[in-house]
Amino acid sequence: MNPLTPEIPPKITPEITPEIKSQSISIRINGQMVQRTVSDDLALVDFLQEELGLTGTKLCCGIGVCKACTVAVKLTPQSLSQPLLACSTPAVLLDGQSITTIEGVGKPDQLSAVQQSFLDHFAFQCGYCTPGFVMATNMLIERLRISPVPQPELDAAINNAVGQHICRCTGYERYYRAIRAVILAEGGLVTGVNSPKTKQVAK
Amino acid sequence: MRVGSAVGKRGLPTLQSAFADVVVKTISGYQVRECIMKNNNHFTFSRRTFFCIVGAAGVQVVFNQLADAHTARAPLLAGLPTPLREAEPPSSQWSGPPGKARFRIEGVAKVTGQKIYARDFRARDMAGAGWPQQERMAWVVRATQVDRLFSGIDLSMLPSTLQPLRVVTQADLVRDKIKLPFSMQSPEVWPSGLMAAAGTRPIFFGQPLAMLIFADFDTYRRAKQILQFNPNVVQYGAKAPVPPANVAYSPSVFLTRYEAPGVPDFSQVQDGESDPYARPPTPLDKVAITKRQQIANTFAEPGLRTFSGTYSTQVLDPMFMEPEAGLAWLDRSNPQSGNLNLVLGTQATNGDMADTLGLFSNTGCPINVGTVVLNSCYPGGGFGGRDVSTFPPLLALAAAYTDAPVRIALDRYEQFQSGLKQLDSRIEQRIAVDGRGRFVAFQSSQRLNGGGNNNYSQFIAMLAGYCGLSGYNITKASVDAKAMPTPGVIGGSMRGFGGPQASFAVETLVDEVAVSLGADPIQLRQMNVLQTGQRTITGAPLTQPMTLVKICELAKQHSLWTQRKAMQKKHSADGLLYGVGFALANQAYGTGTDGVMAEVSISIDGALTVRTNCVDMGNGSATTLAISTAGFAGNNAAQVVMGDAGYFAAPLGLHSASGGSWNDPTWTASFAMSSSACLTAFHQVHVTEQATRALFETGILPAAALLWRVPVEKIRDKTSWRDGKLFAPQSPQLPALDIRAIAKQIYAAGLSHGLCAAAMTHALYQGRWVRADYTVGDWTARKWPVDGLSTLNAGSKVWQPRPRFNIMPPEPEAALYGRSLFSPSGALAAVLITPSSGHVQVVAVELFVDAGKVLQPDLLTGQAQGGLAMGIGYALLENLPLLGDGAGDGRWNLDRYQVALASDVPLGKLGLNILPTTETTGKGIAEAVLCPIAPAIGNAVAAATGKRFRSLPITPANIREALK
Repeated sequence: MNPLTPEIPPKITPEITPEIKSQSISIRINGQMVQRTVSDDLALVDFLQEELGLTGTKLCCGIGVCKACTVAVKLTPQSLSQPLLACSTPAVLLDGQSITTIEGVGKPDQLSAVQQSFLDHFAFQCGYCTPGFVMATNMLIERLRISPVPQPELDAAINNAVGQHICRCTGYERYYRAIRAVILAEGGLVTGVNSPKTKQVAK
Repeated sequence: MRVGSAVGKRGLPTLQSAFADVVVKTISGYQVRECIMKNNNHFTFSRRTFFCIVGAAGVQVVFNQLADAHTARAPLLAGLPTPLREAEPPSSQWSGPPGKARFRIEGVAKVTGQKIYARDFRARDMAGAGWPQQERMAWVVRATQVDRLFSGIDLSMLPSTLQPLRVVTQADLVRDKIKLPFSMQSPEVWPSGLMAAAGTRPIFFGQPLAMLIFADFDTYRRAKQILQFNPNVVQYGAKAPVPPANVAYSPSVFLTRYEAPGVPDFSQVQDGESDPYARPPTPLDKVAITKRQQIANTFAEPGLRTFSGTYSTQVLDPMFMEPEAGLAWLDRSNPQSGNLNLVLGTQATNGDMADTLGLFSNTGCPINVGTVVLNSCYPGGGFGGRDVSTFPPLLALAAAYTDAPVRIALDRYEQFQSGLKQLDSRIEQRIAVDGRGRFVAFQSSQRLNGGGNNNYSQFIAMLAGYCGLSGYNITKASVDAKAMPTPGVIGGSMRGFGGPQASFAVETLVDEVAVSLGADPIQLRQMNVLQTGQRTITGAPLTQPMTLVKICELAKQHSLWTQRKAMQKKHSADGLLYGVGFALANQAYGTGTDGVMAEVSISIDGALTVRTNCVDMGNGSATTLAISTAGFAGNNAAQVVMGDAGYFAAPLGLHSASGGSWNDPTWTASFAMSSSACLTAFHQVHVTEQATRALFETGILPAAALLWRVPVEKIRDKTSWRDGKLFAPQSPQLPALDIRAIAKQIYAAGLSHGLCAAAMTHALYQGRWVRADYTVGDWTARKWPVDGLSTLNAGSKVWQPRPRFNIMPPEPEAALYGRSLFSPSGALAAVLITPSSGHVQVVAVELFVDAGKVLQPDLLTGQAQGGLAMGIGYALLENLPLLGDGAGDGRWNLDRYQVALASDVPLGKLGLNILPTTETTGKGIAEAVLCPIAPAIGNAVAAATGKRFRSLPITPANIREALK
């Protein structure tokens, strides 16, 4: 018997046909406008991966707990980026908005300061959670550029940004050091620091 | 875990591949296969490289190493910075001075989203390898009940447009004579089968019941939304009580160690394996029975106090971040010999290849698979959970029953429901202590609960048994260790491999002893720890410098310990409970019989490449191996090819058939094994260094001699590397040579002078490295710690296996050592407890580790920090019920399964104390940094509350209840 031939055809009741809704959307992704017609229940992470081949945004829990799938969204060009969980957000909700994924941050030969700091601090191991940490840290820095925090509140600000991100490999210590270092190195993000470059955080 | 030979039969299998030709030669009376690469530019490695290996029964395995970008696939979103373009060559920016890394070799890809995991591949990405672009999706329906008969599945809730193309059931597998892998054996008294057959009882939670093949991703996605969590999909019939399965997965471990004045020592190593429960008993079993009776009698001796208890630990999920996923395609273009192609992220490249071959190996199986192509990806975490997982066989079968490439991508619910679990444990033990606090006798019965298939459960229990005394020298001791079947989700490898379970039990009991005796818990341990020259529970001699005493001394002096009373008083004023606990571990690394291999090659421009069969799960193996060439070649490798399991067998000409002998110059005790983090620093680094040495002696040095115009004998053993250049210090007139100039000379004179551009070594550790003599041209190595060598001349395409002479095999008794390599460690943990809530916060940890020679400090400390977080989860957070309410019900995710977050970890308060060492090699420490954490936390909680917790996890509810 041909193994490809089902032994028993499955039972079919064609009268039950859920309505499939699709919607045409336009999303600016990493600076480029993308127009597609997508199902109204297609998660952004599936849209990125299946439709666009952008696999840098990672699926881990699928229910918005682990934060591995974090991307940045801007409601308007002038607004601050906000973290968005691609695993549990339908792509159609992003119609007309602008998002940045890990593919829109730095390049292998031109890394962002956050990416370089993560490298320098050996912040990650398997790397699966790293895109989410990069995105969340970038958004933290973006906010700090507008609203610096007093130095005593820096750790709390970092924890507020990435404290719910799960990393199973490294125990968070090196991520936090890397984030603290890159914030202090930029200068102007933390008040109460004499000089932005004077306090280098040890690796 | 050792999984045996990658080559099924010695000598005779035909090796054919689209990518290689084979020559069979006779060397020293043995047939040796030489694999000739068809790629004319072997040392300019393409992004995808193809290698070959012969499996059992004449079928073949081809191994592909996938790089960090998709292959011939145009970006779907033109203009975007996407991961779909051709991968850049590895940046050299990662490389530090020779022997050091600035950052991880694969780091740039990981911070830019370019690192491609198995989950990221689609069939269209494999077009360059000839795959069709159409891609099916498979979804596995699993059992959520085990006490009722499985009647069938009902898909009537799906509209016709969402119906699967194909439903694969156990009936298909039986009809097609699919052969179960070794790791999928059921308990003796239960029915076997990869899936439960209709009309039978599912034997474990999460057992596959059917595999649905959908036309495409969209159909799959919509159908799954309807089917997943729908209680009407799986139809159950009459109640069918779970029959007891009282026979442990074989083998169980029965260890008896007895040393007393005036009588010969008794142990597994000194007398052989014994089973005091065997009926009828052998003469040796009878001796073991007698010795055990004498041990039991010891407890009744005057002056001794006995302490006993039962300790338990919970089921854990490895919770690696990337849920298992993969692609498979059975290419039927040759109906007599199909090519089964897999894209996988796995720790068990060898095991998965062997299992895949085996599935279709039964006579009469109509699915013809002549070649298996394993495309190996970097896994997104592993922690043991990808070591002979249940996922690859299902993926292979999906391909066998699908007309196109097929993908399975588990979501987290499915990963919890089906992924390998850490076995729970119940350990009954007692210890006899004399008036001075000496541990005199010990007895332990360990029961570890596995799931409904064996997987590696029995070997995990075995290591738990070996760890049954922790790091203590107790000369009258017995340990029984069994892995019991249950209807739970399948248990298997997880970080520690039985060590964490045993560590918690012993280190908690020892702490109780100290409290009862009013002794300092660290001092009591220090009095009893194993030292060099003593023996383990198996009777294996401890020949390495043992540092457990030093660890105790350092811990005793640490302010976290000396100030604990003052801190307790301080926090008490705030209504908080504070305590500090300590625990030791003497965790083994390696499997007891470890076969490892590496190839080191040099390109014409001087770039070094390391190729290895091991996989980097994120622990840093790739980076560590890349810097391991610096000793003999003066430079870090430019590239590391990981997980290349199939490449080595033919060029090395080695096999490891059972029943083989060291008298056979093509035999080794273990050809290959699965990857684990603890195998890098000692084992993999050793074999990489030796391959580098072979390249140096047979290629680099002779080329340097030609450039210097001196006989090679004149400079052998008289050169050194400095700043990446080769010097001859005793001949200052000879200019320093850059490796690029040397490489150019190797290729210029390769054929005329027989200079090697690549060397491949295999090494075997069993109590010591197997040694042998080799001769390559002018170079003779005597008592060299490798058991297989092959070289490739520059410009040649023919590997030359080099015969070994004067083999120095392991000591005969070494096969019974169990383990012989140890990374002693200890941990001080401080906790702060809020009595009203029962919340336990770990506020500081000092970890003491004997890591041997530290290779790359950042990787070592990263492992320790990660081990701490996992240990905190083990002690306080993570918990899966074994049976009905556990992960097998398909409703577990990270909203219910709590792993440590940053706020659970004492950030900035982990002190890592690396012990000074005189050892010249590194040690595997991935488990050593984990094992003492949970018992140290438990002991800290006891110190804080005055209440003892013998079961993990220790939850706030436990605390509140105890403090009532």
